[in-house]
Amino acid sequence: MIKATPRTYSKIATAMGFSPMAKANLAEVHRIAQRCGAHLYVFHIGTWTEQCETTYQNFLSDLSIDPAQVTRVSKAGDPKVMLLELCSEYQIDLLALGALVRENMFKVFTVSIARDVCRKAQVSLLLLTSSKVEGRLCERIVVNGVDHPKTPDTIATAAWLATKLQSKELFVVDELSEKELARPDDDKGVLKGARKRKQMERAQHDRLTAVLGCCDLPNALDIKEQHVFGKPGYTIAHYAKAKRADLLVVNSPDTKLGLLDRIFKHDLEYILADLPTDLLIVHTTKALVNA
Amino acid sequence: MHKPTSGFKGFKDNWQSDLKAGFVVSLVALPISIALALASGAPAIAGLISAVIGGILVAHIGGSFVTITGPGNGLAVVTLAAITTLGGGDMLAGYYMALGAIVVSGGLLVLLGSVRLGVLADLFPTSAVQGMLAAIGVIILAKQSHTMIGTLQPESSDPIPLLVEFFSTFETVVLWSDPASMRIAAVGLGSLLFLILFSRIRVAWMHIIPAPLWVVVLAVAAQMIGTRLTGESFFAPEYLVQIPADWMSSWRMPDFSGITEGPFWSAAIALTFIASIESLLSIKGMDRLDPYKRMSNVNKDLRALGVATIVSGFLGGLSVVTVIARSSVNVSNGAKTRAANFFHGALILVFILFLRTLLTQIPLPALAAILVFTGYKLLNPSQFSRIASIGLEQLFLFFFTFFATLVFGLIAGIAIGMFTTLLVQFFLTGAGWDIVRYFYRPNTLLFEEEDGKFILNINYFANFLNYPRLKSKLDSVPAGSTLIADFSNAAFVDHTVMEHLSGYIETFEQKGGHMELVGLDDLAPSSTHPLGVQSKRRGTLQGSSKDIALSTKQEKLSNYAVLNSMRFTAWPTPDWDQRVGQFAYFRYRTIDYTTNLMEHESLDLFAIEVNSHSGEFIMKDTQHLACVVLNVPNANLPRFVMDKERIFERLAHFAGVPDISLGHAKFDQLYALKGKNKKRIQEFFTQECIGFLVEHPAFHMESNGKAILIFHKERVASVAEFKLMVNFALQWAELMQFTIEKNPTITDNNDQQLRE
Repeated sequence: MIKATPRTYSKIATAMGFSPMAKANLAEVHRIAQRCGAHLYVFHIGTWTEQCETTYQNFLSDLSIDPAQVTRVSKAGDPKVMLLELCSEYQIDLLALGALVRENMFKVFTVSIARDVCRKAQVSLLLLTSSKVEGRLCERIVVNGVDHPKTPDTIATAAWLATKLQSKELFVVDELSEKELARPDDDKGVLKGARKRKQMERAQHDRLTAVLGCCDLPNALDIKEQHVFGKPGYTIAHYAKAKRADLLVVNSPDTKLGLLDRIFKHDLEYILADLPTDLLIVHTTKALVNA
Repeated sequence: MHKPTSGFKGFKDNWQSDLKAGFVVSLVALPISIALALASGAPAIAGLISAVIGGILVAHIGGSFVTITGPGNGLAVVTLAAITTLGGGDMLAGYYMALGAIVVSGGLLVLLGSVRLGVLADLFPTSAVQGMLAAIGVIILAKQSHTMIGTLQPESSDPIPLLVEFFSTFETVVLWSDPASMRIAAVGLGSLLFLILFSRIRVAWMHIIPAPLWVVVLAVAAQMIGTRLTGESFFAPEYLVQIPADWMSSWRMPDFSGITEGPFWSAAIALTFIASIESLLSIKGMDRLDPYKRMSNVNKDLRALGVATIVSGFLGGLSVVTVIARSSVNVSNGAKTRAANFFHGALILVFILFLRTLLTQIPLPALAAILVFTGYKLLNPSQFSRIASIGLEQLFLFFFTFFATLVFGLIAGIAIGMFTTLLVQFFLTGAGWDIVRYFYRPNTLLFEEEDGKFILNINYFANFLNYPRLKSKLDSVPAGSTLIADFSNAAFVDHTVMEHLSGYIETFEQKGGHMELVGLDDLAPSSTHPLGVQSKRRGTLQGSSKDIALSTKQEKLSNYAVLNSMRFTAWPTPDWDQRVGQFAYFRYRTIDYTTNLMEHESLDLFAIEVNSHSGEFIMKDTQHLACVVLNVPNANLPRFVMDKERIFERLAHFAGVPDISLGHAKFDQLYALKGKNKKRIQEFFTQECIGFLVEHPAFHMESNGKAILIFHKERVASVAEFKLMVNFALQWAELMQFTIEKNPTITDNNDQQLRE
């Protein structure tokens, strides 16, 4: 099997929108950038006024950020378009944004936006749900283990990030579909179902072991495998919530026909609709084998 | 307990207990089937055909284990409406057209079962269903009360006007009419009186035969003796059951001519709907009562009921449904497999073939009285206080659905009930918009941890609408596992789900596993069931009594305990359920929780209050008991029950067992002593014991060989009663110690288990 290549983030950007969460977001992203040894870019879409400058300088001094280490770029235009352009222009690896936990009508993070961001700008997307100025620990990371060519890279990235952020546990969660399992009618059905589940789990366990084998996994990290039956997308989000994880890492969505994506709920939609934790969508170039 | 195997081997092993149970059920089903046919407006034979087909056919192709199938209460209401409407007033023509609708509804049931729509039963909110069933009871009662006093054709047709009419015509019909009519009313009212007082009758052997059969036997006796004496039929012929001698040869095909018209299909759909609700709820209820806790295949059962309904309809019978009342009788008489259902059907067929003339001597008012009594039991006024204690909004939902059903009919009633339940939840729980936003989304997560424990995490909320998802996750956990259901991410959990969950906890424990509910602490009281409150308390306060204010009673008990070298625990841990549940008294009861535990520090004795229930669904009856358990682990005492008010006799397996006399006049008068090994028991009760028991005649006692259960009354005890009971138990313990030391042979090893 091919060795998995983690995305090592060396250029991290964040969007400065001067919202109430701006300072906390900046603090969080700066901390991540420092830990990863990456250069921090602050993008601002719109006109950079005097007030912006003052507030921004205040942030920097409050957070003890050396202005020389940060590249601030300001450009006017449509936020969605300009942000992606800036990311391409500066070859950003990771775009970190403060996200609202639940969608509302005005700030909707849909799959299409997430897809666009990842594909067009070739960038991974980090959605921060609860940044704090004083910082939080990232002890527990949940990463998807779905059977897909992108998965090894995603897991490797999660592991790399775990080392940088000094996390303790990494949960590799494999979502198994319940479609093949019939709803049990009686006691015999329950037993049959349990047996089938064990079979499926064993098969996936073998696969995951192979995948984990080709990733560079640090020794200090406690890696746990978990197989869960349920609806893909929703299940891993609920799991992250139940386990009180600090970060959820998933594959980027594949390129599909836009229309179909809107009609049929995409896995990512469940996660984006109700973010359980911070979310990292890892951009990899390995596309679907069968489109 | 070993689960009976299915198939022929299971039949071979268990046919005796199944035959006995089937026989007792057939004695109950016989009068009820005829009565339900009359309540439906169909000929008497229709009910009997449906019971016979239900028993014989469903036993072979069904998916449940201890259910009894035949004509049902809810169906009677719908069938009557169908016959009246389709016949346009001509009951006979309507009957044949209704048969057509019945056959079609059978086909629809097969369809429902084939597409696995059995899951729909899980969608109904508990209080609304209870309200609907209570309304069914009143509807039956209202109509039949007239037949009971002799008015075969009352003027009104809706339940409430019927009730009003009953009371207004009662005087004239009963008191101021001719002797023949007064006789009719007398047999009806007399039967009703008999049924009401039956449970109080102390004569043991009478309880072997079920009450409805007694009513029929006595009424037939009255008819036959009266006819012999007066020379003509004691009761006018139109008041007797009609089963024509040529009932088999006069068979006609059902009338399908209405198949192109609207009313035919609305009748068929109504029949299907009510048949499926009644059956599914009964099957689910029986799963809890099954001593082996087998899970029934509801879809297979639905298909079986559908096929049986088709066959029954063609032969002239009513729809076949699963009936919980008869099924409960089946289980409490020791049924093990589906063969019991078969025997019940076969025996009814035997009765029809050989006892037809006797059956035609049954006066209708007696059957009507049985139905009035059944209707009253469905209404079950004792459940009102229980529902109120769960929550006032549940009581509101119950009565709202109850009246909606009475006024608008069954289907509209339950629909209104469901809708209202949703509205109530929307406004009362404070999470109303969550319901709208999330009800279509998945909300459950089940996974196995490294140590083999299953974790079920519930998101957003849990109510009757998304309960099927929760249920399928719960059903997929293998028996014997430990399951933790975590509700901390849920905004609310409604009563229906709490009720289902408590059933699952029971089943889990029974199958050797363990299930715990966590995360309910911060939920508002109006949306959690007191049983939920209890388990919440159990989860957080296991074994400790600090941090909660004790009630006055509990404080007094606590003080008493300290003074008598006992340790008081207000909320004992769940394992105490088992320590009390070992007695035959609890054989068909399920212990919900225990409170007010007092453990003696040196003697192996404890006092406790037990909250239990028996039966499920409409037959559920909760009970509180204060008792003392005295353990004598090293001895092997004779097994006996010492009864004061014939409490033990009410249990089927003690009825008919003769009393043991100890030769002491006073003792024999005060107590009824029963047991298998007469000699050992007589030896055990020494003169000192008898003397003591005669001095303190207030208590019941059961010995199961290793421990003794002592209690006074089947209700919550006051502090004074508790003290008396504990004192009695302490003295009795001393006395037993003394007896065993003096006469060690009492406790040797050759006693047999008290047989059922």
